[in-house]
Amino acid sequence: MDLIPDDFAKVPLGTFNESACSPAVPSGSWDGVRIDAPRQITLDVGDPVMLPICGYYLVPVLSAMDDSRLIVELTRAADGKLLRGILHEEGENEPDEPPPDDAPELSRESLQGVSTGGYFNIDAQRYLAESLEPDRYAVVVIYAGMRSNPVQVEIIRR
Amino acid sequence: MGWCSKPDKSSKTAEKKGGDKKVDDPKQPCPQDDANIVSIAWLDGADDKEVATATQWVNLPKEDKWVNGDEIKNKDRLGLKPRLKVKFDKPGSHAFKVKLLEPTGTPAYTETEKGRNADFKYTETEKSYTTDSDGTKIINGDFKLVAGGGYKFKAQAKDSKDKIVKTGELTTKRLFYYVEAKMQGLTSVLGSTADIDSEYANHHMVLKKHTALSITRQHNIGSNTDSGTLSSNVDTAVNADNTVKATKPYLLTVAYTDHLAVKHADVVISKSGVQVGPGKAKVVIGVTAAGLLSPHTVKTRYLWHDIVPGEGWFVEAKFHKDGGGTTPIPEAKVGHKGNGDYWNEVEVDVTGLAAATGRIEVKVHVVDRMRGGLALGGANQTCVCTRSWWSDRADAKQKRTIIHEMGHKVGMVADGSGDLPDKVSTHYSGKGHAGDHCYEGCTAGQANYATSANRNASTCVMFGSANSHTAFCANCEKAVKKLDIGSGW
Repeated sequence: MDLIPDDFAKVPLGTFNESACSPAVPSGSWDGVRIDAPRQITLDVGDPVMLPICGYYLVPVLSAMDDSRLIVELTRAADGKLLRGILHEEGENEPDEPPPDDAPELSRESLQGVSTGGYFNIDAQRYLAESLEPDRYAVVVIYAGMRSNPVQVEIIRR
Repeated sequence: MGWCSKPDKSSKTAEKKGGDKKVDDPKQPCPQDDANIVSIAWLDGADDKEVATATQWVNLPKEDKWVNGDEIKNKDRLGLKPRLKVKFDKPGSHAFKVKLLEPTGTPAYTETEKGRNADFKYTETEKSYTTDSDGTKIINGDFKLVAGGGYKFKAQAKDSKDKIVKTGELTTKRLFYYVEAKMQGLTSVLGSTADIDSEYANHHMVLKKHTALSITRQHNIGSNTDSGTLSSNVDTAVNADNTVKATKPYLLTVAYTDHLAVKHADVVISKSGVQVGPGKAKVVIGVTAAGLLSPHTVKTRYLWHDIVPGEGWFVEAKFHKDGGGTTPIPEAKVGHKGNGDYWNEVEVDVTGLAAATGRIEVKVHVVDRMRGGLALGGANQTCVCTRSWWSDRADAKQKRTIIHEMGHKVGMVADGSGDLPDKVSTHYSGKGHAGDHCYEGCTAGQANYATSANRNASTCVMFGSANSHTAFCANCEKAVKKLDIGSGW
């Protein structure tokens, strides 16, 4: 599989920190979602389809608390079909150890005017019900009610 | 063969004398007719040594190395196929039949379980034998017990006169070894593992503990790289100890670590509409972040500190002036707030900035979650943390974690696939906790069991989050008794 630009091949997917392909964050007072993806993905015979998306968001924390789904939305050029998937990372089998009941929690009131931000490096294909066919796609990510910039991705099978 | 056949007719001499009563009588005494079966017994270490009742360690192979002189005194007590000896009261060849009686004790395997795993089926057919010339017979390898524990087997033999003799009870159990691998310098390692041994013994699994090993300290196991290093260290320690190594593949390792915390790096928190400049109040921003795992809940998080020496929480801070312009804020101007070690706010001294209004943005590392235990890369490796949330972890929690992780290693919570027993009625998979777990005590059919309400309601050690229970629930214990660990790890 070849990616253009090929930096995307070096990013560990399913990670949530700043990477070499993280999009530039607008300066100034900005809330929103920014993403980047390879403009072309060339699959060899037998290659599983993979669509890396690297993104950054800074959104009102109260909105994100109310709806924490990170949605990937693709529109297929050939027929205009909309494909949607929701970020879902299961992790390993590990009994979690929650903090004690008296660990301090922030109130919603204290979070007025606060935004929460973070990075993501994901394989969009993992969250879609159907396998992506060679075609051109318009890709956006929706989080906390905010839509990202669209990016165009072309998938080719060699 | 024990039976004497009656002659077709009496001899001529006898006919002249008016018949031969002995020949004509349908009950003819046979030279061996008075031979009776007298016993059937389990053999115990020698052809002439019998035992009335015993324990059969069904998961271990019939090899000298597993005879430990303690629970297991000879090879006859190993494996699924114990030897039997039948005796008649006279020498000669005597016919008899043997079968295993339906075992008591642990509930019987279901037909679906028997269909999945051949070692869930005992030999039900009756088999025919003839004694050797001395009037005895040793039966070796013809009768198979089952892989589960707590099954009480008896064998029955019947001679040609329908005289029946039976063995005493042979009870099946499983045994495996474990070794603790303790990181150097830990201060709160579990003191006694007696309760762990006891819980498994309740379900006919006997745990034998080796002398603990020592491994290199790692202050936190948070990434795959950390886990890989720990796994390698445990392997090295095991392989350096011949006594421990010799018990593979019936060996589990329990590594004690410091924290098992997962870092969420490069989280951004930001507050807009703030006034900065000389005399302005400090800006306080609550620390929140989305979870790294599903359902990716956004909630209060705590700053990453004092978990790994040299790793702090601060990455960078900036002021974005309304209308344009960005000014970096030095680390010295950014502090933390919170109770104890639970630092859930940052506090920014903005007096060094030029007077303006805008947004403060701080990039930090936070704790995504802490784990109580973990399965490592090696098939037989688990680990348990001795500290969590910056505090020593109570013995009860460490015990609970070890029982839980060992539970996974022996096949819990059974989902009715492969060689496993049928699916436990309160089994769940995913739904907020990766892997196979038990929701006993909670409402059935929930989409997400990863809530504090469920944790408090749960009553089984195999619930997916650290609760206060150290025992298998009634649903799980049935499966634990039936599990097949004959392949080891």
